[in-house]
Amino acid sequence: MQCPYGDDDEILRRYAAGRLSREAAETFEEHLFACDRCADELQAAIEVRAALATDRRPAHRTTRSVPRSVRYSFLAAAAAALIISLGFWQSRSSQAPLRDATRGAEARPLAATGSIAGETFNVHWQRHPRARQYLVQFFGEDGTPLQSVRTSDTAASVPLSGPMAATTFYWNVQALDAGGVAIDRSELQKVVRRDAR
Amino acid sequence: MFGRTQATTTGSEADPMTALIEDGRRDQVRAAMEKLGHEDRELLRLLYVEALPNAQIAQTLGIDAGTLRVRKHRALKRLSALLSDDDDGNVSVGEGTQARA
Repeated sequence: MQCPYGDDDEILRRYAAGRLSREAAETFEEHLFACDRCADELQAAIEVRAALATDRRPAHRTTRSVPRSVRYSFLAAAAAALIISLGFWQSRSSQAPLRDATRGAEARPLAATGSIAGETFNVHWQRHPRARQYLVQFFGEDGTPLQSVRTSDTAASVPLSGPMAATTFYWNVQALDAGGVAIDRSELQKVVRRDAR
Repeated sequence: MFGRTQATTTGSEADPMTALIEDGRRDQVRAAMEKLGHEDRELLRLLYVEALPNAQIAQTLGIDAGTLRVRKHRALKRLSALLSDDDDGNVSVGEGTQARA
């Protein structure tokens, strides 16, 4: 696949730094799931930024023209979480099944449903024939990871307290093979609690 | 790695993506960065921390756009190699994929 960002890598870097407009970020995110090259470099960019975070103050420009209000969309952090949690950058040997599982229209999403029962959020999903375990991940509205649950069952319950007390959160389920590689995942789903404070 | 509750808060508000990096991995990359040459480290900082435009980076470093592209590729490759010293795996970074023995 020809990468449309191959000659314009500034977009990737501005995305990693949270400096893209929402529209541009969403366009890039759609591309991100289909392009290994950009996913790899984004992973590198995030890790370099994280590694140098404590060294950033001296070099940081205080007159940055980019408004701090530009925030990552949810999908951005979710994409990063997928890449990072699966060790994408380092595990080329497991990349092919990962790519098939997390990207591409041909991958059939895992069917999963969630519901609120009192102060608990319950998730159920279909069993995947090759899955050894499942990873349920929850994110806040701004993409911040809230909680994750790993289980060999096809259901999980999470108390709606602590980080999960958020009014709005997102979740999905990944099916993991014996090596911990995601081989299928559900669609990202949004939950808005009307009863939350 | 999997299944743990991810409640990282350090810097998450300002930079939620980097908050997704586990502390151990962060230290690992930081150590690898310190082993890089000054030029590589400075280039990666300008690229990914400052996220400056290519033209500005090239001007700062006194190189042309083509050289910048090559140096970026090589810096990422060297960082990748340093990281793989610990992991002994196949690594890919940035613009290319390098299968390491």
